[in-house]
Amino acid sequence: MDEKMTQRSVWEKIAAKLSKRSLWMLHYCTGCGAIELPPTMTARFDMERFGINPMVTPRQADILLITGYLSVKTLKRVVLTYEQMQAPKYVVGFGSCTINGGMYWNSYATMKSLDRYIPVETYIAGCMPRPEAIIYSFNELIAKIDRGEANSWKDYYNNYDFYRENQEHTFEGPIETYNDIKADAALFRI
Amino acid sequence: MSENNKGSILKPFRALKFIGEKPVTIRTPFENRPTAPRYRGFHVNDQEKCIGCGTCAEICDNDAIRMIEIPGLEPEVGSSNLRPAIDYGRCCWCALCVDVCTTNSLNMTQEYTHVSEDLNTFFMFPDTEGIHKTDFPLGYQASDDSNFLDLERVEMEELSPEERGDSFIEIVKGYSKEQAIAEASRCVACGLCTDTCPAHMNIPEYIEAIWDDNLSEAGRQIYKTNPLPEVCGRVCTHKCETACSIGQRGEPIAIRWLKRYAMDAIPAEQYGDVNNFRVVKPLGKSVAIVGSGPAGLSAAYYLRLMGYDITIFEKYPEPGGMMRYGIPEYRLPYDALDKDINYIEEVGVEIKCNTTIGKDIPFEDLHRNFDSVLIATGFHVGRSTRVPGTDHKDVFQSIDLLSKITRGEEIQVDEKIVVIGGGNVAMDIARSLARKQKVKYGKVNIIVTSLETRDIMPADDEEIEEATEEGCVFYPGRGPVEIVIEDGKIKGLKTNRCLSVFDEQHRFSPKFDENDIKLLEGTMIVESIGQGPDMSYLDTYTDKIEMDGRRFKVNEFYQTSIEWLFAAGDIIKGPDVINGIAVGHKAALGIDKMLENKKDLFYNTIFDVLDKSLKFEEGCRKSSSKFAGKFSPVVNNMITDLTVKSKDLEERIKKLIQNENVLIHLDKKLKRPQEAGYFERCIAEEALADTTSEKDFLKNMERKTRVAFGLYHDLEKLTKNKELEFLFGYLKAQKKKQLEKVEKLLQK
Amino acid sequence: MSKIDEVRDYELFIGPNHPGISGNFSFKMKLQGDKILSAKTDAGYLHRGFEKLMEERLFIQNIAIVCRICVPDPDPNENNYARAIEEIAGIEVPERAKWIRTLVLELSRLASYLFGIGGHVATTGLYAFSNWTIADRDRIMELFEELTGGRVYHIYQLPGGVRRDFPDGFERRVLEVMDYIESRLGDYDDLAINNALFIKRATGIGVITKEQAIKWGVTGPNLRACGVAADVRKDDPYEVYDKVDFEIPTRTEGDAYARTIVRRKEIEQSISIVRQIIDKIPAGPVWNKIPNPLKWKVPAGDAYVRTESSKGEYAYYMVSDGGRNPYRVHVRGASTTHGVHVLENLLAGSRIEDASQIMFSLDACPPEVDR
Repeated sequence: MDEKMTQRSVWEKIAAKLSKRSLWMLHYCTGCGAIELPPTMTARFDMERFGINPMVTPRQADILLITGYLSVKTLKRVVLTYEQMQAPKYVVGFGSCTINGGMYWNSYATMKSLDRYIPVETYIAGCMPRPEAIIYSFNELIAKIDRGEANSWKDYYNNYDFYRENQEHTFEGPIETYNDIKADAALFRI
Repeated sequence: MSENNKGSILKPFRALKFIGEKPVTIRTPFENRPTAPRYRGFHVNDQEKCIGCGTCAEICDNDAIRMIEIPGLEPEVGSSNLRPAIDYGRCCWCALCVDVCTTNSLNMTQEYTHVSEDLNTFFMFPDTEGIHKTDFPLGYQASDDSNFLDLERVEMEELSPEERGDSFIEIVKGYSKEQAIAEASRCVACGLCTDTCPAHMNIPEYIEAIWDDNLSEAGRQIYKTNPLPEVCGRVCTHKCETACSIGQRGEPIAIRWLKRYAMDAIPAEQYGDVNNFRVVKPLGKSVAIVGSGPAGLSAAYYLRLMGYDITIFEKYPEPGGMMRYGIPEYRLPYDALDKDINYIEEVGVEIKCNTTIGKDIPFEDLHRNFDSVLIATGFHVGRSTRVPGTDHKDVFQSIDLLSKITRGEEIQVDEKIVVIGGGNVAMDIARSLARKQKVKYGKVNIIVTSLETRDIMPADDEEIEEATEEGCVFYPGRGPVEIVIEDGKIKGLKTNRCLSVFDEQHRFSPKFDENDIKLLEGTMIVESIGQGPDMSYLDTYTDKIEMDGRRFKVNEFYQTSIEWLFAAGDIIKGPDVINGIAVGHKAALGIDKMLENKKDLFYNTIFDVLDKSLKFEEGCRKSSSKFAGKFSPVVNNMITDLTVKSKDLEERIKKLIQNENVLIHLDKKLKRPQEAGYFERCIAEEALADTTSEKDFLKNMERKTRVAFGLYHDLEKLTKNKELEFLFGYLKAQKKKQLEKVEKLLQK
Repeated sequence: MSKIDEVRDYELFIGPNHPGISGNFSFKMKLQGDKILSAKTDAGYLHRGFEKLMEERLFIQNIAIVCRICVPDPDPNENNYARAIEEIAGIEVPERAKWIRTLVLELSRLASYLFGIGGHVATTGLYAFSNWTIADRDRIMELFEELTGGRVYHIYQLPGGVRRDFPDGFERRVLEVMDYIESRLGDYDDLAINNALFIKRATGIGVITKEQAIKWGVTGPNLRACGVAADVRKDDPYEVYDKVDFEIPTRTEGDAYARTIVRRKEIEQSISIVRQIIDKIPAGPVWNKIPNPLKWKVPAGDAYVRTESSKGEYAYYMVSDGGRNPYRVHVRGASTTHGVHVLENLLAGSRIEDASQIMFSLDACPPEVDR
């Protein structure tokens, strides 16, 4: 992530203030960390106070929560899902497995570092993180969006070759994506 | 619960009871519920208590704990300069590390929140303050009930004082197999003992081999650094046991008894098989060694294995030096010593006994007939207090008496004896004379007196206790004034109370109280206050050698001021057997280095390889850009592509080397060192300088890429670290692509 | 199944990102209109290679990884692992440790049942119910945090006993939570279990007959809902289940509603077991020390141990060759039969709107299916 702060126009600032209070989270339980999501989403910790709602389709979601480890089979779907989400989008890495491999660091079937495949906005430490830690990280994300620093989604367009090569190296072959990344990048003037 | 499926219309009104009830929501971050007192949160480590043993790193199943070197922290006995650092990208908070900590310094707090976008902040160093330096109460703490370590030692059987008081039978009986395996299983393989041992023996490795019941592996590990294990297994001063990490809260591992068990269990005939000893390839050079004490024997063994012809010249009838003539038989039986020395002779070392240099063979002959000479003659001359009366015939030196006892000669044993001295040698002579007295008179009457008080007496605690059990009476803290002689016979030793032994600058300068006089009765006085060397054999060379006080001055190769003369043992550094062995081994390496300058051809660490890898890619890029535009378009395109790719690879390797936290992740040693020649063949610059034709350029490129591909392929298999494996795999894939392109172009 | 018609039949890929599937799991279905003709499950999204990972770690290091095989109900894993080693090595467990282990198992069963029935009712649209049960389950998580140090993954039972004893005042708090949950059971019934809409939606869905259940190897509450009174706690008692009184509720219909009723009734039984344990627990040590775990060899042998988890019969087969690592550990996951074979058979012939209800009522947990 090279550029954190960018020059923003007035419209962008207003849009950030409005959108930070209505982020929708993709309801995708990718790994074992998802067991702490129901308490966070439902009445016990109630993340809906901050405007965060679960959403089923990636086309209308803002946050992708990678809860824990990703096996290679899931990683393919996650990459597709990530590319289907509309910008600006934020990926939150949950738990030790996204940071450096975690519990399954010597397993043949999981990926070891999420940063190589999709750009990540924040990481949460824990195995697994408590609902209080999840809500704290959501608040941090909201503050970051307000300041205009949450720009990791642009990194995907900037370094697409890097991500693409890593994905192909792990999948041992090219994957088909149905989205034209280059055309999207042109749309954002990247 | 009723099976009533027909609901009444009033049923929804039952929900009204929820009005006024407190909602179940916990509105973090505005209100927080407290964490449990036993929560497994982030770690804290008490840096003062932690000794850097690394047991937490061993038991962590995610490889999350690394021991890193702390700059400015000096290693001491029982504490290394490493401390644990924990990677929260791997940790699963299982708290096994807390339960296995040897000093109970690693604990967990109740903190659990850490959110960041920077991956480097997840690699943390636990100190007393916590990851965010905020005060959180402790959570899961170590407790004695659930600690995994075994704190009690397996008892060693010894003879009781009644059984051993009148004979020279060995006191310690030794471990049986079950006891040895039980004791060996207590070890956590931290390695602090290896750091403290003067010879740096591979202690965790041989303890593990004993636990595995693989005695030949144990013998092999021991012989790597110590050719006299039967001796050390009985009389070593075991500094390793004082450093043992289990000893912090419990009893240290019985390392000495385990070594004795392992060597006793291997018969003498199998020593050669255990060490994989084959015929030594002779180098054609020879070394003469004067003195067959521990230093001389150790240097002889290691020099012989390197291929030198060794001859040892020994003054006494039997080899062994102080081990045989200074240590009594009840501590070190002679057949154990012979077992070790016989093996050293078996590998081809020639020991000439009853040969005194200076008398039988002049010192000059050694210089003429051998390529190098090592002197290891030790301290065999006892020092005297020189108080009035020491020239009486009944005043003896302990060294002479011990030597005579070993040779089986008769010595004078009176009914009342006074021994002056507080070291291990004084204990040896006192206990030996006690046994002789018991046999001759039926009772023991020995008085031991020393300048030092009981708490600073230099002898081992176990020696003093056993001497007391055998009947010796101690008068510590007294200094000799005069030997009282009446009618030509000694009456006793007049002593004053000693107020202090050392002055402020820690020099030896005792002060006495003249008024406190005590007469210690005895008809025979034995002096045991220290020893000195006998250097008369050096004759003409005595002036040419530089001295450092009583000892010789040597450089780091144990070479004296005379080029072909080396020195080892007590004459340069004491004071016990293991130090002699360690110094002998280092002197052997020093002699070897001086006689034949070997260049270090291996790359031993991953840093060397990465460094050379970086230079290789740089060289590739520079030489490729030199030839850009000089050849056909297809090859030019390939050169451009190559330049870009090399730059990218350089960036990756640089990022890896410069990122300090990832550096800490790297394993510093390769599983097998890589030959330097491999990379020397790869450096592109010189070879490409003369190339003019396209075909030559492509051929060169193909050769070097193939070699690089092979290297990265090997490195991918050699490294233990997953991050590096990924990097090398990636580099290998890049080289493969380049190789295919070049081969395709070559075929056209 | 009717013939495949080119015009009216289509294939649908219900992928891993779906709220109607309990976890990371996918189906490939062939449908005709709204009726499912055949379905094929596609597991493997959560495969981590546990059985291989366990072979590469020491015996003591495995207790940290073993609880992650089944995420909502991790304690039967730890229990099986510890008991397998104890059987092979001949280690005795103190009496108090057995009672504590039973308590932990029952609390975990309670939490899993609350999660399970909440999930099932939520598929019919009654989201308020799942809010209630998950919030109440959180109180049991707090109890676990107090006793073991972790909310979800306890890492508490190890060969020889358990790691720590009760903290002060723990028994009182357990009884408070049990009273609280018992008081909520009436509300649960009013809201969902006796709700006419839920009953109408859930009866007749995913019917398993008794013969089919025994043929397919169905275990746990699913089997008890078909009329077979089989429970490992009664058939093959382990820990202290032979010293506490409890019943096994059964139903005969074998449909989704019956399965939820069985779980709901077992909640009452579990509460009563917990109360009996707190009442009768003896004093004493809680751990028989194992030798230094870094240098501990378990003698050669093998053992097959099983427990009753909230999903069904859960078993471990462990082989040791006398070394420091286990030679082979095989896990018989309770959801493997439910999540793959039973599900495919039940889905064929049902309708698409009932598909998620079938999966949630079987309580098939994908991390257990692909370990």
